[in-house]
Amino acid sequence: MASVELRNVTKSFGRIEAVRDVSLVIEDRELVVFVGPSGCGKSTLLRMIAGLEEVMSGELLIDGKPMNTVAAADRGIAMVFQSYALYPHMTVAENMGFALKMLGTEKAGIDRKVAEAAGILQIEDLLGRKPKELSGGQRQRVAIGRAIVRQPQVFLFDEPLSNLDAGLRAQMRVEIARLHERLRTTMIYVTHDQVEAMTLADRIVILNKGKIEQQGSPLELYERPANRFVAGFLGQPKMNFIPAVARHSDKGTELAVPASGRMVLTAARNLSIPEGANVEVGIRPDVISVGEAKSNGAVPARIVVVEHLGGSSLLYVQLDGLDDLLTVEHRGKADFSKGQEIGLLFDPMQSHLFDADGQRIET
Amino acid sequence: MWTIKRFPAYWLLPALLPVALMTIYPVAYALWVSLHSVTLLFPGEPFVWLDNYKRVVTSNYFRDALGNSLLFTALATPLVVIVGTLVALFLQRRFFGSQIVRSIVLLPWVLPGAISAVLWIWVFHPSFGVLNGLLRDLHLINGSIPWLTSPRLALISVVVAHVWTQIPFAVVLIMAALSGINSETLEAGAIDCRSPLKRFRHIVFPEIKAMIVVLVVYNALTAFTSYDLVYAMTGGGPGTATTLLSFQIWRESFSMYDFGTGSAVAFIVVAISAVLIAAITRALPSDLFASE
Amino acid sequence: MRRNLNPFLTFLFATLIVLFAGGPVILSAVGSVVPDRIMMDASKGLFSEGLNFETYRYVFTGQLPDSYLAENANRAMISDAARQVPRSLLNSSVIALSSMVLNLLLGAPAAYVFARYVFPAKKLTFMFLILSPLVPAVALVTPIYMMIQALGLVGTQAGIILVHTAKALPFTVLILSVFFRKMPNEIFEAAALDHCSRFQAFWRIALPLALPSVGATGLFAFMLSYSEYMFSMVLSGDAATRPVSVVMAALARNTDVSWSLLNTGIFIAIVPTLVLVVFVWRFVVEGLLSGAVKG
Repeated sequence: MASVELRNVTKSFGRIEAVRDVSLVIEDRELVVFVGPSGCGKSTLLRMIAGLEEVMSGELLIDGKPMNTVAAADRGIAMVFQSYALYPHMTVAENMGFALKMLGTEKAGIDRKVAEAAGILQIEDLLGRKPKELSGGQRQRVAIGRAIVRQPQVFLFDEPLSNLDAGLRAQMRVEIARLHERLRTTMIYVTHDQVEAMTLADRIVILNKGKIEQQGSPLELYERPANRFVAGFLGQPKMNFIPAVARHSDKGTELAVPASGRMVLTAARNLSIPEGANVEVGIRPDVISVGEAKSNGAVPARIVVVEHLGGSSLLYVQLDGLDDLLTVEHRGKADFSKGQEIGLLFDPMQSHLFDADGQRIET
Repeated sequence: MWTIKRFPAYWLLPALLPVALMTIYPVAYALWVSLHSVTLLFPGEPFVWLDNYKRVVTSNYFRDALGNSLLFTALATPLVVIVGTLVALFLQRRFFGSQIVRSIVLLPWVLPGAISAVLWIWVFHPSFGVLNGLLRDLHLINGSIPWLTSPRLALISVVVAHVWTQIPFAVVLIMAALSGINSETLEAGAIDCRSPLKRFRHIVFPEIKAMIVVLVVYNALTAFTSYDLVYAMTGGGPGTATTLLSFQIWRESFSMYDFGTGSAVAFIVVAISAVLIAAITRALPSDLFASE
Repeated sequence: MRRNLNPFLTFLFATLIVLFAGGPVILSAVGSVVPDRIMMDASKGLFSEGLNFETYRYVFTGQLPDSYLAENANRAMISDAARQVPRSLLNSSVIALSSMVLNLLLGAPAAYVFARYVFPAKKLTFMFLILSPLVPAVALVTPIYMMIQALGLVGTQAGIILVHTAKALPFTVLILSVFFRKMPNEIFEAAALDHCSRFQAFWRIALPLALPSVGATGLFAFMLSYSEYMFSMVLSGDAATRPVSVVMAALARNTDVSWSLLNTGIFIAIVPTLVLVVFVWRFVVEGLLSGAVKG
């Protein structure tokens, strides 16, 4: 059990800066997910914590002790790799017990710990097999089992589910969550999949271009994204962004699409935005309501594509004066068809505003 | 790639020391000899500067031997690599008996040069040779073709025999390289290009390019510096038709007992092979050497 | 890629390959059981007198073939060298196997650090290894002979083993390092986390994983030694220590020697190596094709 602390950590490969001045504290027993697009530095950050990459400047502490010069094997961490990195020539049991064998643990002790970990993951019947004879999901369990056997202070997961198909991925996600429940160990989990981040994390750290964009609990980030990047990254389907111009009147602030002049949102009070400023309105697809085309206050739109998902429908709609299609998630059954004219209602309370630099405007 | 701060002597010296032992002193010695007049007939080993080299370059055999060696290399190297690659590509497939064929391909490898030479003499023998016998049985010829005794044919014959001895190694290395290609890459290739030729050119070749460059260099070097098979088959004849430059190292040293001149030929061969290798690696761009 | 070739074309290609690669060897098998006088006589069918194993009997027991005793046969057609073939095979096996084992033992660690690490003077040492085989061996015969003599190893197998090992090492290191480099990084990172020292990662992870490739490379070193003639010739002593390449060359250079006897010698020399090669090759190819390296 240990905390992990990063102080002004930087790393570059040649001229490319992979991690830029990152500071972060991961509390004991916390499950923190690093998420971001590929190349954002999340894996590099994890590998620095693991000791597989050198920290160029800044400080890394595990359990309060400086770790910059401690060898990877002695940091009290265990890592689950994306490709699993199982040793192909060893059986499952040998794979799991290898670290203990290298430490000179006696055979009975190794066997006991391997059996215990195999019990947790329900892979007792696979112990005699070679990795070649296992399915992707089974290999994943073995890789996790190998980490458990080491009884680390910190578990590190490097995109562990990205080689699995969708069904297995959901199942393993739940298992990792249960594992964290059971072991109560600090875990750091890297992924590019925002669903994994949302479902697993106690806390999400969103990285972009080597810097932390925002960190916080999944709901905090979902409901109050600090900037346009975070807003667009979290949530499936993605948030809609509508460019708009602010105009103040005595009724409040109006936001309208510049090309058509059509009003999108009306705030009941004056917002602290300069008159005529360009902003972006961010609205998640599931908070847009669909009504009749001519209904009062609705923004008229035309359906371009409909995806029926059973319980809900995804509508991709065209608004006058907008190049990009908007995504609308409509719950419940409804008959929509291509080309249909509809009216959209935007809820000002559930909309986000971003300024020209993409930073959140508090409303 | 990880870094080791100090020179990893324990890891490298076991390999470096024997090679150094068999290279540094012998090469230095040979270089020294090539600059002195070292013969069995005249005692004393006076320093003669570049006289030995001059003697080689102005000798009556030099132009012919160099021409033969270059022609031999230019014919044998591409043949080995191309045929080796084709055979390797073919043997990648599984078919009935493919394992047996894979083993038989290695046969030429297990034979010492002297045996290979005898076998090929038997194939090319004008009167009892299998090749002439076969051609006669097929009524393609009446008399006998003098494979090893007419100048042009002799060179072609020894090239065939040399290629035969070198193919197994090429097949082994190309098959190893082919097996390293991601099967998904190949499947994508199968979908994207209909023509097998284009598929090889754009999908397979880039993946095995590094190995092919290694093979071209290795084979050019082998063809340019080895002579025993050729010598055993033709003795360098008829006339000087199959006399190779590398053979002159042996002839000057151990037949004429002029060790200085023999060593001078050797270093001329080294210089030309170095130029050849540099030219090949430049002509066939490969990230192999850059990545070292 | 795996689309099947027309079965006829497959058969045709396979036959061509078998004939080209195996043809001369098949000829020697045939030649070894057909006496010379039938071979040279165009009017008689090859097997008109059945198979004749006299020459094999001579090689193994020393009993002269009847056909050479009768009809004023040329005694020079019988070469003593043929009788040395079985013994020389044993000598060659010892030399080639030793050279192979030494090559892997000495070369694999070097190949491993070349493939996976950056260290001072890496480029220099690598270039040295790569360039060292550039000098034609024949130019080095005299100084190497002198060195082996100084070590007191002329006429012994140890001397030949030493030279063969050194000659094959650069290639062993080059080929093995290509294979070691192909291994996924993550396996070695996992090993580092599992408390493996550099040597343990090499010994317990890299080497077992590369086993088919190590086999292929070992085969290469074996072959290089087995077929090497010049140094074997110069450094070997009496008949009891001569390797097969020297004995076969002696047999082949004797222009009077009976074709049948020569072919017998060749065929006997081929068989044991062939068995070994087929065995190792199966292991190598199947290992490579099953993608054991990739895990």
